Amino acid sequence: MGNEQFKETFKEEAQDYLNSIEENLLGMEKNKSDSKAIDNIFRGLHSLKGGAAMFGFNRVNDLAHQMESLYEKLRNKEMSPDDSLISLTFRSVDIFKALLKADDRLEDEQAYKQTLEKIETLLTKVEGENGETGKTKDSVSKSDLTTYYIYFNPSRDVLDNGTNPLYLLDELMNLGEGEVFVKTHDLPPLHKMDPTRCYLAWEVLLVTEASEEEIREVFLFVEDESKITIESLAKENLLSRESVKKELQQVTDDRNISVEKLKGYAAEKHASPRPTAVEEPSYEKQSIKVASSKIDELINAVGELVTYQSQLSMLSTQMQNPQLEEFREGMEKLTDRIREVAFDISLVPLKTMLLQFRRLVRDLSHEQGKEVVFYTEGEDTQLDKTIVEHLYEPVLHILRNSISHGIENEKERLEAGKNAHGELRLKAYYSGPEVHIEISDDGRGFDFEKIKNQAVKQGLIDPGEDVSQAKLLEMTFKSGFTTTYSADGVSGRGVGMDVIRSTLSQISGDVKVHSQKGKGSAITLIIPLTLSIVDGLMVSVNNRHFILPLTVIDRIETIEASRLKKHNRIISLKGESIPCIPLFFDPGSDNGGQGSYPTIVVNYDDTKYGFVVHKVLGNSQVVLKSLGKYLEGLKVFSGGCLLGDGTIAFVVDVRRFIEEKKEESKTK
Amino acid sequence: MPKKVLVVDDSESIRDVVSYTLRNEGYEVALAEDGDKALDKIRKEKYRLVVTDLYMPNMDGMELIREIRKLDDYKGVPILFLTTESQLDKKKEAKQAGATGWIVKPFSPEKLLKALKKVLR
Amino acid sequence: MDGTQKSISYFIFEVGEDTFSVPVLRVINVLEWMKATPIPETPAYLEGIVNVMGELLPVIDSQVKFGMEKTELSGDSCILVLDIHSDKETYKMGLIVDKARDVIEVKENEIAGVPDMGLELNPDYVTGVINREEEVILLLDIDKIFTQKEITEIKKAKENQKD
Repeated sequence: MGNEQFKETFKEEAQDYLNSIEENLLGMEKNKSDSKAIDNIFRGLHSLKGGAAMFGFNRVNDLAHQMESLYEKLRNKEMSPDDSLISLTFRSVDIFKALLKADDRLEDEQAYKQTLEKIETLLTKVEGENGETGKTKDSVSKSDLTTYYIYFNPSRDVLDNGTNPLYLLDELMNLGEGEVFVKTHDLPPLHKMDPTRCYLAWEVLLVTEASEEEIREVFLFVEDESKITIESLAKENLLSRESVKKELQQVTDDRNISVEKLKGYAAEKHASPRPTAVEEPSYEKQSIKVASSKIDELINAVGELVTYQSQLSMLSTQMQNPQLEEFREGMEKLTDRIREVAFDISLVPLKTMLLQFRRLVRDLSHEQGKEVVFYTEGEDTQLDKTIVEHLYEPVLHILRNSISHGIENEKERLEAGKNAHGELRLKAYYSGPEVHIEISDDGRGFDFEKIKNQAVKQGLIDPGEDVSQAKLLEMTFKSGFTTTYSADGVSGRGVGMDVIRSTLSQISGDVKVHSQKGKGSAITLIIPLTLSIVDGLMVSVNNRHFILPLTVIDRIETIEASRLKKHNRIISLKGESIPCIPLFFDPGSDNGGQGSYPTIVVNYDDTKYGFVVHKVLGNSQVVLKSLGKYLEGLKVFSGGCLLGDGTIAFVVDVRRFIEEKKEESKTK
Repeated sequence: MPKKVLVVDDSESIRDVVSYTLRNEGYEVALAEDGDKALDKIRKEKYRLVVTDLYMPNMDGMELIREIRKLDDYKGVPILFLTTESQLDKKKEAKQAGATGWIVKPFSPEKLLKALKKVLR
Repeated sequence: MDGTQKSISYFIFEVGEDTFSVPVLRVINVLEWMKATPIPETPAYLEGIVNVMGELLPVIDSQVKFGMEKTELSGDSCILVLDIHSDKETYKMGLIVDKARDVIEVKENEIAGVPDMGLELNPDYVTGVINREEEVILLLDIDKIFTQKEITEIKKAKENQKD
């Protein structure tokens, strides 16, 4: 196999490195002495370089290498970061991206060269004339058969580091044929022997085509602390000579091989034909698009497989048949692998998408001369890959709109009594069978007058008609309703709200807008959760399993049953008053009420709530499945999932659950 | 019984290459993306070999090696670390920390197996 | 009898002492009875969720739903997987019945209207009556039985709650 197969993974990963570099650059831009950011960039470049070299991205490797050297200087405080360096890094990031996309081919040779030169200039400026020396590679030329004498005496503590000298001898013998003589002269008497020490040494006569270099490489890991002698005796196979054989019979534990004697034997050379290396076929790694329905099917099938697997495991444990046990073990591993792969195929965290938007926000706000702080939340929310692809355009457009139209310039903001810098938030969270992505700004909000005028112009409403703001907002989604925003070159070229909605409807999603004049606006993308995976905490109540998403969990506490009073469930935990809600059981009629209950403290809307349960079973990653259309009204669960043994567990929608409980207590 | 090897690297592609290569050779491979996670696994299960990167978030490779050597169960278990040409000075430090050997990145599957064969059969 | 009359295939099953039918086209599958995982805070007739080849299927207990006395399970009990059509969409539902019988061909003129009285069952659930060999077979309107509105209103029906 070739490395080709991993190229794609590398590319994706490289993207992550670049994203991290960009993110840290943005941080560095704000605070130049941010040494953590510098460290992170350095690490990103280092990893990028390592991978690039491995997967044949030589240009990426070269540029990353140079950039890394620069950041090494930064880390060592040999130079200090400035704006030009940050720009240069951003520039490099762009070049890396282009290179990765084009499989290391240069689209803009000049930019590449210029950037390299710039780095070079910077580097030479810092280090004077001490340029880096280029790497040289040893070329190993193979000779015909040679007989070597090798003496290997490892240090006493060679075993401590996990080295097994015998493996090295084995490796040595794999290079050719030969004879090994163990030397026990250093062996102490038994009662003084420490079994963790190595007292042995070896003499080897090796006949091989390998070079001395290759032989030395066998001892690579131990050469510093061992006594090693390698000597070429003759360019022939001495072991085939009777005289040599006889001589070797004399060798004992404490009588060494006489190198000089052996050297004396000489004979004609014999050449042996070397096998020609077979060129391995290289496989093209291609990415293919797969219909999401097929992935759905795959995930379902894997779920079934897991179920069968655990049944098999149970059966095997009962039957205690070694053969079956072996079979089960193999199956289990395979199942795990398949499951991992299947999960992998279908999901990506939103993070992968968010990072590129950070850069966009930076660039756009610079362009517009506005200072915008971009907050993100819920980056770990996992989404179907294809869904993420569909989200890019709409999110891009919304961010653009916010920066160019929503967020005012500094003067206007100060006049309105706001902070000088605008705030842009992107928040992602699970909600029922959906993921919500809410993008909000604290800008001037939608201009309802303008929307109304436009609506009148397009004949959607009558001039005198009294239309609610909500309805007006709804109209912006009407096809062709794009002139709400002036064509100022930024959002004018983008898609309109109507396109956002239609893009989302392609993935059975929806979009909602809230806006308050002068206060800002929030646009929420609602995305179905068909394939989402929930990282959750599994709990049980009356032997039924429930999953609480980890994202909202703050901590786990234990409360004594006696503290769970009937009419007052607000409990003081570590100085906080937390309303504690029994999860689908009544502590009053609960026989577990004698002892104590684990309580999962969750964060919702900046408030903490406790979910009282019977047992905490541990973390669990589950495939969220819809409970079906019939149960759509059942909001307290985002869905259900199948556990390894086929048990069904319900995934609690913490947000909705709390809201419902709030409603209930209101009506009481 | 296939031998269990733990591969620790924050880079997915490296993990992929290493695990693919090793699995092809019949090893059983467990993966961890940083030192912390690796140590968790190591404490739970005995691996016959640990292959770790040096640069990683959370606990880095050097610290991981030191931590592993503190465990009685892991006294003689070989540990290989991944390094690059530019970090060759790390070899000494890593060996002192208790590493058995190293693999220089970039590496081919052959190179990886070669290093592995030095320490594991 | 008019031989050109269109006939429709009906799937016949028993619940309690009554015989019911649904158009065979609406029966996706007949599964052996299996234990459903109950869903907290839902009406008693909602038996729970079962796992059908990795898909989660809500299951309704026909006895409870039809207001009959709940009897012990018989060996013949099974789950009908039904294709439900609502205004906007279609979805699958499970219905636990006491016995699945067979499929019969019914001509349109064999179907009589629903009598004004004599039914314990919510009359909305029945669209017609077939008489066959002295037996009365009720035609069920499954789309009405499995209307989603009901579940949206679950919260208001707290008295039926299980947990």
